[in-house]
Amino acid sequence: MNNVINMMEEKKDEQLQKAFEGYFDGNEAPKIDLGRAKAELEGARRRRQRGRRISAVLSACAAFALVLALTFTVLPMFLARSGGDMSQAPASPDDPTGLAPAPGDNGDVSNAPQSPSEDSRNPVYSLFAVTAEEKSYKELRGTFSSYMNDFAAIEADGFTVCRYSLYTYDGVAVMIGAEITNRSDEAPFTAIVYTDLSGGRYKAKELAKYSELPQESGYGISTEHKGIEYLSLIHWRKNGEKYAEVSSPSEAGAQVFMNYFL
Amino acid sequence: MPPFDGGQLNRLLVRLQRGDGGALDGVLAVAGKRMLALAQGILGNRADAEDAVQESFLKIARSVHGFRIDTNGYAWVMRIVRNTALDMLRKRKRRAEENIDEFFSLTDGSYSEEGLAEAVALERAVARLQPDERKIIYYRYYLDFTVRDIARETGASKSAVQRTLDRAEKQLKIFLGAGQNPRE
Repeated sequence: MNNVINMMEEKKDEQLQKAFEGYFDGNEAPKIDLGRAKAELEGARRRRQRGRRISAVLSACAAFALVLALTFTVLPMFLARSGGDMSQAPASPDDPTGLAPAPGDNGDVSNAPQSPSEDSRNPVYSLFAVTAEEKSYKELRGTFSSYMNDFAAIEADGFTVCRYSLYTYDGVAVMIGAEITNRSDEAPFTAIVYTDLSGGRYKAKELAKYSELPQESGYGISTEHKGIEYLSLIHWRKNGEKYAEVSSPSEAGAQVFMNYFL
Repeated sequence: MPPFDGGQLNRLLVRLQRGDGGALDGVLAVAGKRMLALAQGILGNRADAEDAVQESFLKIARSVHGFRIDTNGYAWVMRIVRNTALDMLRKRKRRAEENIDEFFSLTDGSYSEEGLAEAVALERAVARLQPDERKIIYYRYYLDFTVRDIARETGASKSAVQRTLDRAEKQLKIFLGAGQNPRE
């Protein structure tokens, strides 16, 4: 019922809507210099990054303080109580770090030793933390040819316009984002496609929900009717892991979209 | 020209949230004319309106991280433009408060020849509405507010807003169509 009310609220009179659109679009475009706004955006991004670094340092300090507290208070108490001499227990020859899970342990992956390159970065990032740089299809094909092969059909299609961005996280290229607009009469759609470049080493937390999509013919998909559009989330693996959000006034929009990729 | 796509504006705002400065160019291309129209209506001249739009882009860049993707991006942008233009107006103390009766004046200046007759007809039709009807049309068609938003903004009940909107739309269509006014 609420949806019906919301839809009615969203619906404008078509004739008037058209008249107002013509009215607005007849005006000349403003002559605006966006340089300051772009600098502001970059400044805001830097401030947020600085804030994240400070909070990471504070977290590290807190963790260090906790370790110290455990080392000098709880551990001696525990050793004294057990009367054991654990300091002399040898590390397993197979596990010089001493971090391997004991037999019967469930082996929590968060305790697994990490390579030095992974130590400094969190493998789970937020899309808010990435830097997106707009790139041409040609530029990206030069560097990421296998990933970009999947977009060849889109590029060759006369109904479709695609804009690409390269997403980097802490200097590492983690994803390619593609904004696709298809204006075909049959089932027009707009879509955002994210292609993972890290081989799963880095994960965007906002995309985690895609791994739970119901499976259908080799890909995960869920479609909802929202207002006047069908919104589909799609997840598949071909030349890298791909996540797509497709909006279309037609229920067939998601299928038309997938025809370009599978 | 393709019809206005509100979803495209939301996607551009998401790109901005990710720090993609190129998306600002997209916002200007998609909504620039409407932003200018709104500012020009409040400030009364194009030069000031362009300043307001310029300032609005700064505010968008500063505050885009607070934008919620599941809300109406167009209404969010237009609120920023409206508040910026009203702030400029108050600073100049030319008018103490918002006066949307002076809003519909796009065709006075550098409006393009194409569609001018229709635009003038629309302005005249809107000018013939009752003040309360004109206000509701302004919120609904210029700012893209929902009925619920308008009720919240004006303090009226949703049903009262919906009734006024229905009446205003009916009147406007009559004015735009046959040019007859049943009130006359």
